[in-house]
Amino acid sequence: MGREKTLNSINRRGGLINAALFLVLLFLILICLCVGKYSISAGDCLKILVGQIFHLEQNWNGMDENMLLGVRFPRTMASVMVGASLALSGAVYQGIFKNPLVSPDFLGVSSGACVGAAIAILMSLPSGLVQVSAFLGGLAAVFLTVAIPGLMRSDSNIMLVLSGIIVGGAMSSILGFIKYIADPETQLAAITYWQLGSFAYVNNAAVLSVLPLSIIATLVLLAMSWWINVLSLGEQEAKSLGADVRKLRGICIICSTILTAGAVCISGTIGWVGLVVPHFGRMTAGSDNRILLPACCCMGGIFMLLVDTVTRIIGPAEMPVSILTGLIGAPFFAWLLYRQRRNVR
Amino acid sequence: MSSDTLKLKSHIKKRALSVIVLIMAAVLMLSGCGVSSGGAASPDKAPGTVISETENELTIIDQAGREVTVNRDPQSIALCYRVVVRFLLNLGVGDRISGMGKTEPFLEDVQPSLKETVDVGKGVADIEALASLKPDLFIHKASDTETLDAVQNIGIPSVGIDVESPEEMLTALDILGKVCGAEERALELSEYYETSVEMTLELAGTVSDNKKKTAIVMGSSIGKVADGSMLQGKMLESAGAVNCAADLKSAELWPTAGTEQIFSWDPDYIFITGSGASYTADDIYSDPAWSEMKAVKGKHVFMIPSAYDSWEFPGIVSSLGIEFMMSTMYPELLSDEQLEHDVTDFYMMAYGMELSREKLGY
Repeated sequence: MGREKTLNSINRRGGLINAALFLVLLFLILICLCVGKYSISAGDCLKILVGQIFHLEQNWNGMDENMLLGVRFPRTMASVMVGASLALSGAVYQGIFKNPLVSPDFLGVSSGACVGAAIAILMSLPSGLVQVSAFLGGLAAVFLTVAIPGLMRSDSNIMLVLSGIIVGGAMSSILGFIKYIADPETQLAAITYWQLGSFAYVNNAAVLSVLPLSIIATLVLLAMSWWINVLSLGEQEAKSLGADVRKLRGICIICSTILTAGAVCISGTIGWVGLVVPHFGRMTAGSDNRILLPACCCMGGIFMLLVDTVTRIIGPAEMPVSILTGLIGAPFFAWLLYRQRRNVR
Repeated sequence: MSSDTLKLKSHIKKRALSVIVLIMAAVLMLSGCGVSSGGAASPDKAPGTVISETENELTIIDQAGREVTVNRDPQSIALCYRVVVRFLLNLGVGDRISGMGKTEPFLEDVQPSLKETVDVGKGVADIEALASLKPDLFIHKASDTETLDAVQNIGIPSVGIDVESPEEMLTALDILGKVCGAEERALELSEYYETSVEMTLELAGTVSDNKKKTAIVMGSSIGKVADGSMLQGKMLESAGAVNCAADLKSAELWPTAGTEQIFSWDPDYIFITGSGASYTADDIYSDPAWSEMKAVKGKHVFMIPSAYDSWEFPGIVSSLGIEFMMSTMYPELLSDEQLEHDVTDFYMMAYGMELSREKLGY
């Protein structure tokens, strides 16, 4: 009876935290849509947004509408989606591999996606196909990472992590070779863009092409949050609780890979989000994945949205997002380590 | 442990420390020697200054500020900085290029012997290939002094040039004319370029400030723009436009202003770089988000001609880029017929070729 009461109170607290985070995210989306170098008043922004929802007669500037719906809206959605995807996959990986230092690209997905994009750029394919190639590159890299332990008839997590290092290293070398043979005056800058990460060139088509798969992968992971709790107990304990560890871990990896590859497709590689946000999530929402995973989605979205808005509005020229995520993420991670220094020993 | 043993240990430590310090000093001295054995730095003298000349040799300050001694009238020239090729072709010494990196159809049509050159690296110099080729002269970008010094150290005179602004481009032409034994031709090319730019500046001067068109040049991706320090930005200004991105302060070439900033500028004209743009004017016209922009409404989005030869390449060809921009924005000042006449004249003067509009794609 007492245990049930405690569980209910935890669920209620988790629900409240997630509801609060979701409301903060919605509020920030509205705020960020209203700020930028192009001046639109908050009133006009609201008028345009409400007008779109209720099909009101247009009595606002067409240019303002294009800016808000054609430029800022896809960019805002992309930053929320990328932040949520990276934070969620980071939290899932950290849970199932019981390793707090794991980030979403540790199975080589980001470097694989960069190689995919670089090959497409080298072949002068149109930008839509560069995205597809990046996505397939990410999936191929993870497939390789997962296949190596299989070839060695090993099922251990350590082998998978080491395999990720092998594939990541190989992909970095391939990328280095592609950059070496790329045209320094035309192709090199485009390849470097994939490595630095930016939302400057996002449009509605890019977001919509990735959105359905990302939503499905997110829903699957959120639905599996209880099983991720079980996996985070360790392989032996999970097996003793009746979990099919191999199958569950496989589904988690596939979904997280889709999320990360989709994120890289839209914005290029963005570091630190998937590593740091889950830690902050655990500090706020606890380590129960049923509460933690949705909280990470919201926090990742909030973090990325704020960072991208800052890069969008400060300075005359935009700086790559990764620079700012690194500047914030690295000291924050150091502070986390300081706080948890006793546990780390 | 006895005091003798401790003394011995301390002595050994001190000796070991001295040896390490000596080794480090030797390494530093040797690395210093490596630099000075290349082109010696002469920061006080202006690039292009001739320090001394004999019947066979010429000592000149290159655009990296290095003092370089080269053989007069080199018969074999190597480079892995593609920009240089056009300069050498214009100077009439293209047949002396024996080693280079990437080539392109236009360059090969002008100088078929380029197909037979040795690959000495694309952007990054292949020192081994250069050592085997042993050219009389190696020309490279001035900012890459490490490569210039490394090539100099294997006994190949290496000259650094810089072409990012019109002033630097003219200095580069002057230096290349001197080191290639084509001084008179270099002077002729400089005069041609200066006359052309002066003509457009004079025409641009007739436009009052409040009637000047606003414009930008976008780079390889939508949102990247040429700022005031870039050649393309200066070309816009020479063509009588106000470059909206002139004051963007950024260390990178083609800084990302972002779509939102471009919307905020709402320029009258948008020019797209012809070198490696991943989009076309039609992509801009068909994107509903851009439909209310002045440049889109007025159908004023243009790609700088580059189908065969790029008119925004650093070099005297950029005078055509300026004329193209001016004729596009102010047809009443520089007519299409005048542009066509000047283009024909340019290719005849620079390459001895007659090229059609279709071939050049303008």
